[in-house]
Amino acid sequence: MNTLQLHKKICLLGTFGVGKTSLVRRFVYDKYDDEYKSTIGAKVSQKRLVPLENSRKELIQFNFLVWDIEGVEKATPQVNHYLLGAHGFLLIGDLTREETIGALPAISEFARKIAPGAPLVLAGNKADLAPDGSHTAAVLAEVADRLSAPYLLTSAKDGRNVEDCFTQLGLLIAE
Amino acid sequence: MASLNPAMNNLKQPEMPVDPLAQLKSILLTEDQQRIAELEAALAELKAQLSHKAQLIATLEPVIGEVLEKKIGDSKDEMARSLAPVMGAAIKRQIKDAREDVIDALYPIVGRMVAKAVAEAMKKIIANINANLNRTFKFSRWFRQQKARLQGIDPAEKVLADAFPFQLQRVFLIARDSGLLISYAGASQSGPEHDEAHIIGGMLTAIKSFMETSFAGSREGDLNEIEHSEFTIRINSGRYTYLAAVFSGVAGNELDEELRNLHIRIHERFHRQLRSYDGDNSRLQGIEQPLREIIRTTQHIDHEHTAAS
Ligand SMILES: Nc1nc2c(ncn2[C@@H]2O[C@H](COP(=O)(O)OP(=O)(O)O)[C@@H](O)[C@H]2O)c(=O)[nH]1
Ligand SMILES: [Mg+2]
Repeated sequence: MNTLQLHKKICLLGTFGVGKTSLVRRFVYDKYDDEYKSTIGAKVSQKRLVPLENSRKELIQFNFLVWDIEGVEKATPQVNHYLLGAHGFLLIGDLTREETIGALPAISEFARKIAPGAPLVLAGNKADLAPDGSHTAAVLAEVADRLSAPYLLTSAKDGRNVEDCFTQLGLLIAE
Repeated sequence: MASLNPAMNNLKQPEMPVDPLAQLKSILLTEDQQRIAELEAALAELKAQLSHKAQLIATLEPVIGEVLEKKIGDSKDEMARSLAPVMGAAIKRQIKDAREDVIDALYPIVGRMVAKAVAEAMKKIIANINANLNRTFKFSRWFRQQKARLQGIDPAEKVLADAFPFQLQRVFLIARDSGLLISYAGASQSGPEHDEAHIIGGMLTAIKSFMETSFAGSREGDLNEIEHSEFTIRINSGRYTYLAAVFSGVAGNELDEELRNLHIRIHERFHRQLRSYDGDNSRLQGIEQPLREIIRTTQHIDHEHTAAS
């Protein structure tokens, strides 16, 4: 059976310091330096997923162009531009700082306005620092429920669920 | 002095009774008292103004402005030297208190200035180069046509190739919004380079968007060229896509024309697929053909060198 090759634009969004850049680094082997990102506030990396099967039994291999975007909390025209044409969003909160999870609904609204129909996956990052069953994880679950989006607890440090976030997003886009 | 004209005499010295004592009295008493009273009133008003800060400022404001202006005009450097530390400290404090605000406020201004300066400099350089090119081009055109005919190469194609004093290295066709790479052609045919092209397409789009948003409002700021130390990227923007050509050397307007024509050809053939492009490049079979062609055409100048040596 033929595998369909699809290129997709994925945007990583979340308040400063939640671990977006660290997650990208963990997810892709990355030979580009970050120098110009601090200048223009965005960096593009690439990662090919393993082929996924959707509900119509189609095999799809995604080539994700992952945009690590700074400053979404300010909703500037620049950030607006960076979200154009996105096919999926990974919204990231920091499990050690509840306010970064509280910021996610507003960010998702912003994202959905610019790229309506693009699926969302939520990630509670720095799970290595949050005890099991932590309060912030419960808050994240509630926010995810409200946004009708799946969520995972990740760690860019030990690598847990990082790959899965992108796979989840791939599966949603594949439908 | 006595006047000879009696009428004038009348005008100058109207008939008035002169009473020296009354005059003295009025000088000594009335006028002085009145003057004193006026002075007292003025002094009181002045005192009031001095003690009332807002009033004082209102009084001094127009004067200070004038004095500063004059002083700056007279001795600009001296003024700058004495003001700089004060201003510097004030600005530093202001920036510290509202760093983001200051940056936000300065950002578009600085951006516009830079864009304009760059555009101006580029225009001058390009005008210079064009003048030189046109001279050499006309001079050798006929000779080259003859040579091409003898070599059995289509003269039109030969002339076209000779008109490119640059090396086109890569051409990218990129989706406008998403920055996804739709097609790519490169002068060298290595595999890893092709994979890298997807990231370059995305990064190029990010940079393009950044520049265009930053320089919004100034026409000179429209991004159609990015310069790097050893190569230049020329951009032609279309409705759904943009073409980015990476070259070394110096390209005049001919390259823009070539890119525009190429873009139109692609658009005519694929516009339906491009409008609904969603990352599926298999629906765009054959789109890389015209990109390869433009690379091939502009390589002719090299073939000539090889043939001659
Ligand atoms: N312990 C821990 N630290 C993390 C994790 N992810 C990121 N960090 C740290 O959090 C800080 C901010 O991360 P960064 O990726 O720059 O955040 P960004 O602003 O969202 O890109 C850095 O010091 C990272 O080392 C994680 O999963 N666990
Ligand atoms: Mg970052």
